[in-house]
Formats: sequence, C-alpha cells, structure tokens
Amino acid sequence: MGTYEPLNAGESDTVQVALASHPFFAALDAEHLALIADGASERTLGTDQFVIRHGHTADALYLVVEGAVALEVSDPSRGPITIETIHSGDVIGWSWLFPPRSWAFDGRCLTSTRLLRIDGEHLRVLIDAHPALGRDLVLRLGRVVVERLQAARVQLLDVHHEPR
Amino acid sequence: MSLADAPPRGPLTGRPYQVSTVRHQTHDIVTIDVRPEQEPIAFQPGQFDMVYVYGVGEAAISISSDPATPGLLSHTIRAVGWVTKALNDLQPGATIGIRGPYGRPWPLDEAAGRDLVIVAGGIGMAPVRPAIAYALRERERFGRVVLLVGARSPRDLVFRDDLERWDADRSIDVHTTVDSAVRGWSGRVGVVTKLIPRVPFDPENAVVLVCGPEVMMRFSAQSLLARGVPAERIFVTLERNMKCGVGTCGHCQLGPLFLCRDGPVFAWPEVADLMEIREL
Repeated sequence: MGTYEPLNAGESDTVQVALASHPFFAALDAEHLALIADGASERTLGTDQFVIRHGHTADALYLVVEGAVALEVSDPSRGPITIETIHSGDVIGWSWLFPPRSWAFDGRCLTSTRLLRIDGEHLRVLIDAHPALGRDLVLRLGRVVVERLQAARVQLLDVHHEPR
Repeated sequence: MSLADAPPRGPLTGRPYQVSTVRHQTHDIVTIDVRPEQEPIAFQPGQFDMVYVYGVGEAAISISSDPATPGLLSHTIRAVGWVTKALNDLQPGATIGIRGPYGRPWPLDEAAGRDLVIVAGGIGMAPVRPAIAYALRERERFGRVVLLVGARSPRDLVFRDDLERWDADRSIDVHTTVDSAVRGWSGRVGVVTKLIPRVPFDPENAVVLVCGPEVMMRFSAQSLLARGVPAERIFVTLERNMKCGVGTCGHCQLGPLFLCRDGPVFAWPEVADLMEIREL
C-alpha cells in the first residue's frame, strides 16, 4: 500500500469513492468495489472510543481514513499496553474472516478517527459468491498480515536493546 | 623541550579538548560538548572522532554537532564499556583527547536537487544530526527533507528537543515511532521500517541516509528497495571495533573493507552482501 491523502469528510459523495481512494483497495476492479460498497458505511469515533474490543464479535473490516488507533492489550498489573498504532491508510481487522470471529485486541482511538466500516458477513458472502473478488480480497488482506507479521518480528528483535 | 621541538603531529596524535556541557539524553546516553584548546578542525556530516579519556582508553564516536561550528564539537555516547562509561561520567571542565575527524561522510552533494530521507534508530540519531543541520542550513538545495525516527521506548528517544523544534517549525517532515509504549505516549507505536511505505517522498528521486542497529538498517533497506528507492542511493553507516581510525590496524575489517577508512558511510550495494554473512 502506498502513500495516502484521504478525501476530506463530505468530499466524497459516496462510500464507493471513499473506498476507491483508500490504499487498501487501490486499483480494485470497479465492479467489485461497487459490490463491497453495498456493505460499507463511514463512521467517526472520538478520542478514547473503541473501534474494536477484545473478545467481542469480529464483525467488520475497518479502513482508517483519518486519525490513529492504538491496538492494545489490557494487563491488570501494567494497564493497557500498546502493541502498535494504526494510522490513516491502514486497515484494522481480519478476525471477521476466521472462526471464532472474535477480536484479539482492543482498538482505541488516539484522536478523532474517521473509518470506513465494511460488514464482515457481507464480505464473507461476496468471497463465496465471487471467487475472483474473494481471491483479490484475501490477497490484499494477506499482504497486510505479512507486513504486520514482519514488523512484529522486527519488534520482537528489540534491536535497540544494548546487552549489558 | 620547547614547543618548536615537539614531534610533528601525525594522524594518530590526539589534541586536548575541554568539556563545556554534558547533556543527559536518556538514562544511559549523554551528549558531551567540547571546545578545542587549539584551532578547531573542520569536519563533514557522518565523520567520527577517536575520543580518549586519559588513563582509561579510547573509543570511536560519531560527531553529532553542526559542521558549521567546528569550534563546538558534540559527541553522543551510550555507556556500554569502560571508555564510554567514563565519558558518561565526565563533568564540565574536564579535558579529553580527540583525534580525527575520520571516515567517509554522508554524500549530501548527491542529494542536492532530490528528496533527502533520513532513517534513524535509537542513538543512530547522532551521526545523522550533522546532516540534518546541514540540510536545514542549505534547505533550498533539497526537495522534501524527511526524518523517520525510531526508538525502543519514549524514554529512549534522543534529541527530543530537536525533534519537537523541527516538527513545530515544519522545516523538515518528522515522523517518530517507538517499539513499545505504555499509556501516556500518544505517538506512533511500531518499528521505524513501518513508516517507510507511507511517508510522502519521491522514491525514484530520493537519497536515503540510514543509521541505527544493523538489523534495523537491513530491514530499512529492504523496505526502501520495495518502495522503489534505487539501491545505490541508499546509504548506511556501519561500525565495528575501530581502533586506529586510519585503516592500519584492521580491527574494524568487514570483508575487504576497513570501516574506519573506507566508511563508515557506504552505499547499500557496497555492503549489502557483506552484512548478510553471519561470520562477519
């Protein structure tokens, strides 16, 4: 996914235009985009509001249009620990694709955050009914997963730690 | 013996400098500002000095100050060994020995007319800070100037005042991230390589300077190549156990290279294969 200059709120008169301008759907076939847009809506959440909650049903894919979301794990002894932050142009969530379809982390808005929400059940139906779209969508998600996995591995290396 | 009888200065002869300021950057990193007791010696961004603590020993330390003011040299040092611990304990007024500057500098002339992207991890901010100072002074020579900074945690960020000032006056495009954070940090969390795909710059017309732990530099180079930056315009700075600083002793050898003499700054194709060899 490349650099991203989001459309301003109200600048896109349809969700489909907003979806098309998001890097996650870059160069997606227009027909497929229209099918996806049928299950999409735009929403804005305020600072400290949660996009997703650990253990809750994973029912949607979120595209971050503007703002930032912290993926957190709550630890009773240390408080919330931020795993990573997700920003404009990124996506949140693939748990809607796989059983048991529950979120593994909390996603808390660090600032007022504009999102595109695409219903997970809608996407699963599309994947089954339109194999070409399904393949494309899963490949796009796979790329995100690989990027996050590689980043997590580098994070685990703790490269800045100086052995004593 | 009079001064006139003193032996001629060679490349291995140090000069006395007096510590004027000690700035604590983090719990184990300080920046020491020193002034020469003789005429200052010019240096270029990316070069390093051999810094001597009398009675303790010598260590190779990158110069972290503005090359426009060679009379006030800064070295930023993490306490990891005897010498660097002694440097961390210095107080204003102390005298240390410095010889240098040594090594191949950052190729800033090559970046003229292009976007200049700087990727710094942890104390890797130190060797790029003179390049940033130069770019700010010669701002019109460059397109976008982008700084990507990564650190282990918010408390491990160095030169925070600089980062805040550069970000506030928008003279350069600053993006900061930390590997881990607890509540209270409202910035980015994630490795610095994650910033590379998203930050606005023209990859085909950019020169990128990368400095940090070697693993971080390898992953940064991979991300930059994936973004479309030509390999020959990615530059890294390497360090090994530098002793002489002039390519004589061989302590800093990396394959056919002596890092002190041939580097420490290298174009990525010069060292990419060498950095993949475990035994090196």
